[in-house]
Amino acid sequence: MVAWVDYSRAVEFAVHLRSLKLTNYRNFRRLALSLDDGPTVVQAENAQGKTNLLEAIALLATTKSGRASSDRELIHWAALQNNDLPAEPFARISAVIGHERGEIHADVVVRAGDPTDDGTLNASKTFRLNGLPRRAVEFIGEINVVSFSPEDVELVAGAPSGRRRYLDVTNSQMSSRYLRTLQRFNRVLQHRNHLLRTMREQGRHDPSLEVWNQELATNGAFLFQERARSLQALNELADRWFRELGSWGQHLEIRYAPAIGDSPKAAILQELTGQNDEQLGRIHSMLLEALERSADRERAAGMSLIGPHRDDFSFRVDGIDLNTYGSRGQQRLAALSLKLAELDLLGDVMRSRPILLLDDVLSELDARKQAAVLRVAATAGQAIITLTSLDVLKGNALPGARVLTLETGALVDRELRVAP
Amino acid sequence: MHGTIQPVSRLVEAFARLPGIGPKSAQRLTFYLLRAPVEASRELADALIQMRENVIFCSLCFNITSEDPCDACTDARRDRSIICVVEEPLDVLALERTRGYRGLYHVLHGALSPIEGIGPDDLKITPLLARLRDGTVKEVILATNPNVEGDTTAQYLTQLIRPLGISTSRIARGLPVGGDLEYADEVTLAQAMENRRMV
Ligand SMILES: [Zn+2]
Repeated sequence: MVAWVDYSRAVEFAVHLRSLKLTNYRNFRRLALSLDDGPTVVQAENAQGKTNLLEAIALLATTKSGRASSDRELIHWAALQNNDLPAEPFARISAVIGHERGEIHADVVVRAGDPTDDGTLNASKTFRLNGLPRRAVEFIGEINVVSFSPEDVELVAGAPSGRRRYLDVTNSQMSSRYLRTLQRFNRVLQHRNHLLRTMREQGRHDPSLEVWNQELATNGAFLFQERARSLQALNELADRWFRELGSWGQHLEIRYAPAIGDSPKAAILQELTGQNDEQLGRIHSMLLEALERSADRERAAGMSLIGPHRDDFSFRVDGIDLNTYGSRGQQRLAALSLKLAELDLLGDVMRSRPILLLDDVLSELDARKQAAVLRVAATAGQAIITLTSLDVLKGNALPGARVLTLETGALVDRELRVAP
Repeated sequence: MHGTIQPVSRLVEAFARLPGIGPKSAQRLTFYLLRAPVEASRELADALIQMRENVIFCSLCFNITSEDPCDACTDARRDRSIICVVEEPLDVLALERTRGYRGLYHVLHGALSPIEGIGPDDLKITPLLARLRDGTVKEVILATNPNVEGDTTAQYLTQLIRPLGISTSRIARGLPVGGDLEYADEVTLAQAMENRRMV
């Protein structure tokens, strides 16, 4: 049993998305949708905007798009060009969230700003709760989502950057302090990289490097500790799902590889398994000392070589890394187990069941895993399930689920219900 | 700027060179002034020249002043054992509005920010250390902005000042995090000064 997760603690209430309105968002010029509790099925052919719809909901929860490389991609430029082009092109997501303490109106507006001095195009996001402006760290956590799509196999099979982004989004949903520290860390990292580059170019030491090291170590140590903590919890929960859904009865191990330089691995993991402030202090010292030892190397490279921005974690079965040696089936199952574990963990930590977003994942699962996922969806506080074909629901229990059809950026409510 | 006449494009370019103003904003400002009464432009031009010709920096605290040294530095009623270090002249104005602080100031003219190429040599740090060496000053309040750059600058200064045997304190949190001192309201700012912590 994970110390962090108390299974006996009942979920106290469920947060629901009551309605969603998209304006100039991706392929949607305008889309209004009211949502019920429980599962909703959205059926559509490919390229009708299923993924965009779920992305917008995930953005409300996490303040970030998991897919867009620039937020400008979120704006429906074609729609804007047909009408009069507003002074500032924008996309808007508006939602009404049903909370224990009443309804909350949440808004995200993405604006395409002026090109910056160096010609790069950027976009800004502004957040509002009940009409009042909020920063991302204040906005995050109003709703929690866990999303699962076929691309999630890349968490297991893909590059470390995807795994780090996953960890950051998951941890940020659970703790705004994590998001604050992460934002601070990223800013410090940018500064420090610039400084190292300047030092390399000018061939001289800058006396302020030491304080940037301290800032990096302070924020970095907290990120290391929080990542170790959530991975430990996710590991135990994911292992249970992996054994339950797999045909082999094997254990899944999720192993954290923190990038605290050349410090002895055993000593690092020893410190990271505990969660107290004393240990945080020791991780801080370890990182600071590692930074000092690698000063010459970092200066030669002109960038920061150690710290949480170089972290990774691996999925292992019988000691074998699934990234390199796993079958596609094992990789898929590991990714699914991680997502189901995340659903458990968020539900427990936030004391409210997250909204489950399933993006066309059912068709690629075998019957047993389909049934398990639909069982989870049926008991989730709220689930939105996109499908290309309703066939996969046949014989599976999702009774009473509302079915919507999405065609060329518009929703058609067919008033269908999945037959009991 | 294809097709626009030269005086217009010249002003657009001049605006676009200012920090935080992109090409589009520069155009908007220019065309606003073009349509506004000529007095608006005259007033702006005059304000710019007046500002640039009549304002100088105090050679002690580096605040803006019309006479050197400035009023604060020559005011005999001020407590000369405390120096409050801020990033910008506007921060001095904000702190003066609180009426709670009666010590001296020192304006750094920025904060450490390698991204913008600002290092220790670009700030008024050496003259600050020179002011601290005559033994009059007992406490330095570090009132740089509560963001990454301001915090790091405060940390840097602490490590330079501590060996001089002078105590340093950091203005308390409770200011809007990540915000600028100059936007904090007077009560919040007065409390932040009151609740400063020794570092
Ligand atoms: Zn002065």
